[in-house]
Amino acid sequence: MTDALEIRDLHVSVEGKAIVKGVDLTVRKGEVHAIMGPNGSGKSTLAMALMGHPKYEVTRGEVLFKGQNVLELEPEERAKLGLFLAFQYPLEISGVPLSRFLLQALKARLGGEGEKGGGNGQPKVDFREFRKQLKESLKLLRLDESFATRYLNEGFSGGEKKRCEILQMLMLKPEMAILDETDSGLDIDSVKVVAAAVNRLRGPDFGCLAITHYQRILNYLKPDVVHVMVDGRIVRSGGPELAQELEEKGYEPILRELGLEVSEAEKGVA
Amino acid sequence: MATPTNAHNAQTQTETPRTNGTGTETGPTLPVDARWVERLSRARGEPDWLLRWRLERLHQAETLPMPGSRYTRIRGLKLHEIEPLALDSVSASVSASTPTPAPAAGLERALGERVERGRAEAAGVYALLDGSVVSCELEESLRRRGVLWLDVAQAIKEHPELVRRALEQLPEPRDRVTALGRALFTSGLFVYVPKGVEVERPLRAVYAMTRPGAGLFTQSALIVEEGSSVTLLEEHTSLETEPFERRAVHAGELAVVVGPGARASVAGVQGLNARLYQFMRRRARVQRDGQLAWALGWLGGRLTMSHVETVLDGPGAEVDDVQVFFTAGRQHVDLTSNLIHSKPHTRGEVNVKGVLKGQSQAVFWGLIRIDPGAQGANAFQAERSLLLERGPKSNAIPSLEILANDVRCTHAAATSPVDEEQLFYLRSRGLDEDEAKKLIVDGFFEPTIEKIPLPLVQTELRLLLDRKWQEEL
Repeated sequence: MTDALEIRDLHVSVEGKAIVKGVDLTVRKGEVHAIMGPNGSGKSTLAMALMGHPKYEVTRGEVLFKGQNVLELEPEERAKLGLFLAFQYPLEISGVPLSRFLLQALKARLGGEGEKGGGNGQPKVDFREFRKQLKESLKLLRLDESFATRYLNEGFSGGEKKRCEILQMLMLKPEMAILDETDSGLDIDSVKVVAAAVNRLRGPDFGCLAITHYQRILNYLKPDVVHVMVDGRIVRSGGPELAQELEEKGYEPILRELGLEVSEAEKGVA
Repeated sequence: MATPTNAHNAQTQTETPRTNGTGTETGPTLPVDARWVERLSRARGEPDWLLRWRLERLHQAETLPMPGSRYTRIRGLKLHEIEPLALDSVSASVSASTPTPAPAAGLERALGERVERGRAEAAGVYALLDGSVVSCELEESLRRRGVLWLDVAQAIKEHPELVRRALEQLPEPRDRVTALGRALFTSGLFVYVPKGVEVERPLRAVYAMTRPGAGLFTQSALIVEEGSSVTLLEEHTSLETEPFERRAVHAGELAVVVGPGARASVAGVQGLNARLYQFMRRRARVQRDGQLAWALGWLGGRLTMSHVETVLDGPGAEVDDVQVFFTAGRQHVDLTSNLIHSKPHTRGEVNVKGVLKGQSQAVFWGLIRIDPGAQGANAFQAERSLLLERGPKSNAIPSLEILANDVRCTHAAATSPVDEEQLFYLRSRGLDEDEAKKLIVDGFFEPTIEKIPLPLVQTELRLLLDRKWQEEL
């Protein structure tokens, strides 16, 4: 048994259509992996399937985390096990202040597996400590303190939503975070802020799988391993130099090598 | 128990079962006859005009149809089997056979505790337990300034002209329950706030209905004179009673007059027994520069029909109508909100939000009428319902009658299921499905509850919504 996130021959379909077609990947705690790939390669589908979205059907393969069969677990059980997904498109929840939501999520997270939330049996959260951490995290992500009482993601700009995802990650302290294109749509300052927040959690008890379309966040995230995903499979893995190569040449050479069509959009992607 | 139906009992056994809904069927349609009403009125020592008024309404009740529409058909309720509650002091003379028992001590204590909880925050308390006045008190300083806070029986004795004017101004009844309620009313509140009196703390009325098979009929009025302000909170509760063995009814009316420049807030929180049928009619006239806020919460009852009508009857008059409902099981709510802009530069805003579970049903009728000449009127109306399961149904029937040309008028209605993506988002953070739905529901209500200008009502509503979620209501 290992502490790693182990993905073996994973196949995922959405509404009957195969999107992820056999992914093998192991992310150990203490490591940061990046998955890069052109649009439509299945990166986000992989992320959603790992978190257990009901519309993403796993047709083959297995996923283990800390030795547990993740695919058997409900999304909330995966969260309690220590998985976290920073959404590409975070949802707006009207009427629910961010701080209230975080407090409840933290209680659920600390409650561990199998424990039913709601009233009795919930672990106590040190409220003063919670407020202190929330204040610090907001500051780190350059979000105004007023965000604590604003309704979750409602009326936030695209960049604020993404930073709020990372704020949630800081507060919930997952053991394995999947970032689904968190950098997309962020200006370079926000990219730095997000990377700094991830780096803050970095350590022997934290692993990260960062999905991205662009290389620039990797300059600050400094991944240990970079994977390239094309058409539902990981076609190449390597060190940070692989990201550099993609930065310079785009996905085109890899796609040609695989005998795949190169769309106009993928030419010269940096 | 008051058993005015005794006279009918022999009859009802031989009657074939009827359906409600039309006034043409044969057999008993009403629980009492004219003789019963006469005895009731005499026992209460009422003036002749009131007895005549009651009898006319009883006569109307015989032929009027049951309330309802194609969205609301009242099937289970048999009005003639209902036993109208009469005040203890008169019930013995009304029906000699079985006198009304004193309310159970436990219930009286429970009501007392409920009243006690809010006493410090209230300037006046009225508590009614199954038609008996348990408490009717008003802060001395307000009494000295001429504020009236009276049970309707007392109001009839002390201020008969005030009551008479209020009753005679009621619009003609169009359904059997409304007419019957007027013929049989035995309790209710008369509140009068003279010119220039600001009643800072809320006035609180608690109507407890704990008796299976009973019918409570109430008539209330709130008159706020020029430049005055007041908050009235009406609570309808069955305390912690088990579901009744027999269906019970409450039919109540409240007439509100908001004088020039006056401000009034009227809140109503309903958490009645699961076998109670409630019919509420609240009507307000707001005069020049007057402001009225309705805040109504509907959580209990088997069937609720509520009719709220606000006539903005002077330039600058304003109304905010906020209503929330949460239904489960086989509950049915039928809410009407009529906004009548009869004068220029009036503003009306209606916000209704509801959550439905189980097989429950809701229908919302929203009318905005802007009379000729009411230029500069600004009307807004929104209704949103959230369906937690596949079973419930919600309908919204908005209608607009705009007879002036320089107005702003907006309305919107939407019914939607719980968003699966929101649910997944919350679950991915460790909340189980139930917790996630609860959070979505709380969040759905919260912005609407925050529109209510009364912290006391906000708190009470949040508490009841929580209890509803825990299925305690």
